[in-house]
Amino acid sequence: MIGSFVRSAAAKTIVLLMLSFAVAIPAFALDLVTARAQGLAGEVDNGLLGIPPGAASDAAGLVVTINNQRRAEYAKIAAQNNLSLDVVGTMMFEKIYVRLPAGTWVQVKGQWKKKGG
Amino acid sequence: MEEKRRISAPKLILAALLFLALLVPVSAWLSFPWYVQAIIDRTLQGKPFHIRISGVGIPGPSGIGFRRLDVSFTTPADSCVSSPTTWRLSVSGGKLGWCIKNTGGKTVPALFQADLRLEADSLKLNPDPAHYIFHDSRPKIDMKLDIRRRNGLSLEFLPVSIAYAIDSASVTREKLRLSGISYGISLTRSLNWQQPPDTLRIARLYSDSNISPFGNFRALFGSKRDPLKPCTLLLSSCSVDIFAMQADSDAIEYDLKDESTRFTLRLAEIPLDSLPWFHAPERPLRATGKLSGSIPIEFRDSTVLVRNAMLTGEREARVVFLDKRKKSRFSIDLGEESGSKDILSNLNATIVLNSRNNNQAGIGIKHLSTLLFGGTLEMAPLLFDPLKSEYSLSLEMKDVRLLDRLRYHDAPKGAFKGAISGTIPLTYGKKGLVPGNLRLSSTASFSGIPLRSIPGMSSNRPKQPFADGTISGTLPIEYANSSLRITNGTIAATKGSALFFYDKENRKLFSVDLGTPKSTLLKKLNAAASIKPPDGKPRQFILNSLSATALDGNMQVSPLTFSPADFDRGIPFSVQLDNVNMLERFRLHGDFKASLKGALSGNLPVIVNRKGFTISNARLHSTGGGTISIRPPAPERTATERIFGAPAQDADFMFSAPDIRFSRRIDGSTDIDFTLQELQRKTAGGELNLVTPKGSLALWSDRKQPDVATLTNFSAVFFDGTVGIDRVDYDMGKKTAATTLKLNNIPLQKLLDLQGTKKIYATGTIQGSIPVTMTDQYIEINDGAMNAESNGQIIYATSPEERAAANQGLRTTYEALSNFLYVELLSSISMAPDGKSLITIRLKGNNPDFQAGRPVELNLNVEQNLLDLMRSLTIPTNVEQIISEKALKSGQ
Repeated sequence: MIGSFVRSAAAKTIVLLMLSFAVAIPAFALDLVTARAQGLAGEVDNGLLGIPPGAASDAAGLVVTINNQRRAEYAKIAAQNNLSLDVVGTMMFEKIYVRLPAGTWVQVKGQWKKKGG
Repeated sequence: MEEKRRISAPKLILAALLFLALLVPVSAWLSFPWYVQAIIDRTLQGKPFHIRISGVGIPGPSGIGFRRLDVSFTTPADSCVSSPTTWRLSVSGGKLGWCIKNTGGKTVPALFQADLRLEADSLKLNPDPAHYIFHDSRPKIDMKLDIRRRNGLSLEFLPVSIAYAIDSASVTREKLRLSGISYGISLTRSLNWQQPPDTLRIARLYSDSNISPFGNFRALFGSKRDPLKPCTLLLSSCSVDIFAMQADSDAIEYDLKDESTRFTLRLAEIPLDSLPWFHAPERPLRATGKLSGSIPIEFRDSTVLVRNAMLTGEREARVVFLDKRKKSRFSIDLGEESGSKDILSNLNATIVLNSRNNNQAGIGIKHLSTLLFGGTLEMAPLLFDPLKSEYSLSLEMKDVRLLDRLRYHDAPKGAFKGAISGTIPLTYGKKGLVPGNLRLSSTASFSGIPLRSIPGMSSNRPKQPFADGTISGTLPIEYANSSLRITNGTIAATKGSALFFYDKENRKLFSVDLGTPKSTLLKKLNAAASIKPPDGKPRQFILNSLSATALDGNMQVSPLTFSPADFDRGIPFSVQLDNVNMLERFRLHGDFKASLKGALSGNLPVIVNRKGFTISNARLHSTGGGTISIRPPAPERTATERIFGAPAQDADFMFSAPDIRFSRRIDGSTDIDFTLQELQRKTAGGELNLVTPKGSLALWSDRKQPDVATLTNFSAVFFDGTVGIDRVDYDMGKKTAATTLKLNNIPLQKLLDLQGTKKIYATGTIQGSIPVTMTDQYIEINDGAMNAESNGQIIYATSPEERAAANQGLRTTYEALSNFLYVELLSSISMAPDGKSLITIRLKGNNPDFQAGRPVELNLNVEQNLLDLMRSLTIPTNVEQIISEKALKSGQ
C-alpha cells in the first residue's frame, strides 16, 4: 500500500519534471531531441543519458549537463519519497521510453539497442 | 822272537777272519739300498703284491728312508664286486722307522715285537677301475709286528695291528674333489682285521675346482657288514651341510654290487639365524624361526636323482630386511602364516656327477624343477665354461607368489600380493654368484603401506609426521635388460591419508588430503626406468618416463638421471600437472579452514641435490577457488552480546582462478608472482572485493628476518578502480606492517555507498595515497589523501522537512549540495587503531540552482569511528543471521 502510494506520488512529480526539462534545455546548440535523433545520445534504463556505442562525442557535454540536472531532480524526488535515486531513475526511464521515437538508442540491462517501431 | 812270530800268524788269521766277519755285515749294511729290491722281489714271489722301491737310503739303527715306494695289489672279484680291483699305492719321500723290543725269553715263541712307523711326504692310492685318487700329504701309518723265530734262523713276521689316522686327505675323481677327509683306520689281528666303526669326515666338496654348496659330511662307518646284506656298505648317523643347512640321515646303505644307494636326507628344525647369510653384520638381513625339509635321493651310475624333495618353514619363520638404523623394514614369511608352509615342494632334480662332457659341470645338474611359493621354478642344464672356470645356469620362474609373503613392518602392517614370473640367468665363479640379464614380470599389489615409510616422506619428529595414512595399489612391473617398466599401475590412499606442513611452533599449518574416496590418487601409472651401465661404474639410475592420471587429472615427470655425482651437481626434472583435482584436498588447521574446489595445472621445474631442492619459475594455475576462513578462538557469547557486542574476528577470504609462478632457491627463499581472478574478504565488518589482484610475494628471503613476507607490485581492481601497494613487509610473527595504499580511478559513489547513506550521490573518480600501519591486527592511517581526479557532481538529497528542520547554516549547505558541481575535491583521512577517524573534505564548485550558480567553497569535517560505523551498518544482517541460527537450534 505504502509502496504504491509512494510510486504514484513520484510518478506525478516525474510528469512535472518532464515538462520542466522541455522548457529548460533550448539554450544548447545541440538539443537532446536532435542528439537522440542523430544517435549521439541514448536513454539508459537508470533514467540517465548515455553515449551509444560508436557514436561521436559531440553530445558528451550535453549528456553530462542533462544527467547532472536529472540526478539533482531524481534526488529530490527520492528524498521526498524516501526512495533511492536508482529507483526513481528506473521509473523515469519507463516514462521516457514510451515517448521515445522508434530508432532511438536505448540501453537496457547493459545492452544498447535501438527502440523498435 | 820266533815264538812270537808263531803266535802272531794265527792271530793275524783270526784278526783277518774277524775283520771279514765285520766287513760282511757292514758291506751288507752299506749295500742294502742296492739289493733291497731283490730281497723284496724274492720275498713277494708268487704273491699278488708288487712293490717297487727306489732311492732307498742306508738303514739307520731305528729307520730307513726312501724316495718312492710303489705298491700294487689286486683284490679279486667277489659276490659283491663283479671285477677284480687293482690298487696302486705310491708313497714318496718316506721314512720307515722301527723300534724292536725283545718281549720274551727262550720259552716264549715270540722273540721280538716291532713298532713300525711309516711317515711320508705324500701317499696316493689309485684303485682301478674306480679311477679316483686318494691323496694324503702327511701320512703316518703305525704297524705292530710280532717277529717269531721259525725253523732255526728263519723269521716269521706276524702283523698285530695297523693304525692310520687319516687327516686332511683328499679324494679326486676327474672334476670332483673331496677335501679335508679324516678317518681313523685301526685294524687289529685280534679283531680279525675288521675296521671298527669310526666317523668319516669330509670337510668340503669341490667341483671343477670351485667350492660347492655341499660340505661337512659326517658318517659313522666300519667294515663289518650285515650278514643278511653282505654287499651293503652301511654308513650311519650321517649328516651333510647343504647350503649351510645341516641335513642328516640315520643310515645310508650303499650297495657295492649295484653301486647304488637310496636314502632320505632330513632337514630338521634348522634355526634360520644359524645360517651364515643372517650373521654378516654388513648385510641388512636377519632371520627368525626354523626350517624343516626332506630330500629323497637315489644314486646309481654316477647319477643322483632327487625325488619330491621339500622345504617348509615353521610358524614365525621369516627373513627380515633391516633399514639403515637396523630397524626391521620388510620381512618375508616362510611359515604357515601366509597360507602354506611350503617354501619348496615337489623338487625333482637329475644330477650327473663327473659327466664326460667338458661343458657340463662336475656336479652336472641336468634338470631341476620345483614348486616354489606356490609357483614353479625350473632350471635349465647347468653348464660349465672350463676356460673361465665358471658355471652358468638359467632359472625359469612362473607365478612364484613371493610377494604374498612380503610384509611391511610398520604399524599398521602392510601387505603385498603378487606372482613373479621370468628368467634369471646366473653365473657362478671367482666373482661369486653374478646375476645375468634378468627378465622378470609381476603384477604386484600392495595395501596398508604407511606413507611415511616411503623415501622422502619420513619425518625426524614422530609427533609431527610429514605424512599419515596408508596407500594401496597395483603395479604391473616388468624388468628386462636392466630396465624397469610399470604399465597401467594404480595407487590409492586410504581415508585420512594426508601430507602435513607445520609452522615454526610445530603446529599444523596446512595439509593436503590424499585419501578421500572420490578419486584415486594415481591411475594409469606408467613408468620406465633403467640402470646404466648394467655392470659398470659409476652407475646411473635413469627415469625415462613417469606419467599417471593423478586425482582425475594428469601428471607427468620429465626424464631424469640419478647418480651420486649427479646428486652433488643437482638433478633437474620437471613435474607437469594437468587438471589435477588438488584444491578440494587442501586443508588448513588451527584457526584456519579451507573450503576449496578445482583442478590444478602447471609445471614445476625442480633441481634436487644433496643440500635440498630448488624450483625455478614454476607455474601453477587453477580455474577453481574457494574460501579460506580465519576463526580465532572466542569465548561463548549470548545472542545479545553477539548482536550488540564487538564483532568476532572471523574473516573469510574467497578467491578464484589462482595463477601463481614461483621459484624457490636452495636456502628456502621463495618468490611467488600471483594473480587471482577475484579475492573477497568477508568479515562481520563488511566485504572487500578485489578483482584480478596480482603481485609478488617474497618469503624467507632474509635469513635474519625469516618471519617477514614482502609483497611488492600489488595491484587489484577495487570498486572499478585500482588499489595498489608498491611494497609492504609483513612480519608474520609480530603481525606488523607499514605501507601506502594507492588508489586510482575509484568511483566516488562507491566510497559513499560504503558509508551506508542513501542520501548522497556523486559522480567522478578519486585517487588516493593512504599510509597504513598495521600492528597486531590493528590498523592506523596517518594523513591519507584522497582527491578527485576530475570534476563531477555531488548531490546531498534532503527532503523539505529536513531542510525546514535545519538551522540556517546547515540549510544553506543542504541547498548548495542539492546539485553541487565540483571542480575540486580534496580530502584527508586519519584513523587511530581504535577506529576513531577524522575525514576532512574541501569542495570547490557551484550549484547552478543555488545563488545564481556562484562559486562555492565548502569545508567538511567528519569525525566518526569508522570501525563502529562498519559494525553498525552490518547489524541488520548480523541480526538476521543470529535469529535464523537460533531458529535452527530450537527446531532441532
